[in-house]
Amino acid sequence: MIQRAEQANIVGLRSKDFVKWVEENIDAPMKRGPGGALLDTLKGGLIGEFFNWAKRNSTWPLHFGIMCCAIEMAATSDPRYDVERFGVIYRSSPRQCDVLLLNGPISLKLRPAVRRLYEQMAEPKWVIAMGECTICGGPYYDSYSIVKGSYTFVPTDIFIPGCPVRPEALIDGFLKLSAKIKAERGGWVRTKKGRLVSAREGQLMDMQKGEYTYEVPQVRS
Amino acid sequence: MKSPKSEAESRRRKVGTIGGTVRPLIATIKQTLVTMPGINRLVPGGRKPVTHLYPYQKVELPLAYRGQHSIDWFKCIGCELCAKVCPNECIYFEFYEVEPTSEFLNPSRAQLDEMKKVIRRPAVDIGHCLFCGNCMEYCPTDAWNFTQEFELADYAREDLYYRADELRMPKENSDKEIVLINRIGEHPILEADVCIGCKKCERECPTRCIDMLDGPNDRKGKPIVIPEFDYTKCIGCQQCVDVCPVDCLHMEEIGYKDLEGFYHINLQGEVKLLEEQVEK
Repeated sequence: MIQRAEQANIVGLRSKDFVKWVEENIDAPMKRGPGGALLDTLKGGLIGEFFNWAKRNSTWPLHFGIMCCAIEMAATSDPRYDVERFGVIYRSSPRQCDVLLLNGPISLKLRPAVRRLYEQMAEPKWVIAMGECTICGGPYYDSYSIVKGSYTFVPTDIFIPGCPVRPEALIDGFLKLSAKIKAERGGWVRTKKGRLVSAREGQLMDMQKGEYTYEVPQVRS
Repeated sequence: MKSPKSEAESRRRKVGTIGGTVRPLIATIKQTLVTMPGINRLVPGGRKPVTHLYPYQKVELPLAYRGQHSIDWFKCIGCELCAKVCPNECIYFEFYEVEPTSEFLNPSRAQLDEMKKVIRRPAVDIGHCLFCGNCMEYCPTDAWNFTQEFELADYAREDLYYRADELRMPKENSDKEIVLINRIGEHPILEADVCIGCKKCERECPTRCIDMLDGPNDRKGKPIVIPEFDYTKCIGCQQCVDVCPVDCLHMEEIGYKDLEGFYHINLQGEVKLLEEQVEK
């Protein structure tokens, strides 16, 4: 059962729905037209490569600090670990961002806000779970008010364990994210243990089969 | 020192070409040269660049840094004390069947029971770990270690569950010197009236500090044996407390000087604290 306060925070149109709408109403008629074959080759060829290069070298995260890992997030952008070397520039508005950097335990009250921020970001977008609190609740794993992991309600791409995460480890996470974006065309990326996982989408727990019984705020389509 | 000007006068003053363009340009060039490799020695106030080029430059971490876990399988006795002290309960134990000639069996408690060729070794959910080092501090055999590996980021939540086999320390790094220290400061205390003399604790003890002695008769008038603990050997792993079927054992802090008088503690139920011992 969704609470009324959560219902009020729900966004009307998902960005994925918008992409789907664009594909149905703009891309499909264009492909049916005279230049359709040319469009396909351009998208799969050099232009697609260029866009991939641009995407993986400018992963702009949202400047959204939840708890103590936000201090390490700030330390990562200081002159010593100059994270802008990799095109990581913190922005204050979700409309300008590519990466939702979650750093801290997400409480049940914050969850609809985080979901709303995620929906407000434009496609393509990725989510980084930084620190154990975001990955699975951390030391508050048996608390009544903490969500057991960001991957229960937003598709999470990178999990960075640590308490808190070192600045170098965060840089490593961003580099691994760019490696994932680079592997997007192939569709598969290798984890540290050598297992193949999908490079095109983040991990989202199936609420029907998952072990957690928390409800995800449903989005009206 | 310049003479102080009035506010209105300073506002009226215009910034000229030199003040507006040339001076900032000089400052910028100077700042660039100060940290430029090769030239920074010639410029007054030159210094090294502040930025640490992480992926291309090696990170120097302190030796005590707690990164990836690594467990010395020769030293570990599978007492599960680390899982008990873990604040996040992120340590799990896995069972491995080994051959009787395996070197991991020493000093494992599996050696006590020759029918059992099973060892238990810890596995960690790194996505849930606090990296607090409690497991390392309380380990009675110093089997827990932390490496300086910090690049643990991964693409899937399942891959953060590290199995015991993946956390094993390489053979070369192990010194194979076994130490047995009670770091938790607690020892098992027996309630002799409740004990039924099943000898399970004796079988479970990894250091063989339990000896079964003749005890009082039970309710039916049948004589039983009760455990006697050698507290100088006990490492406080709580295995005897866990296996006891009638809950006649519990852990308690006792003073170090009381270690020699363990007979009194067992049979008469007297527990002397350290403060009382010092007062005498």
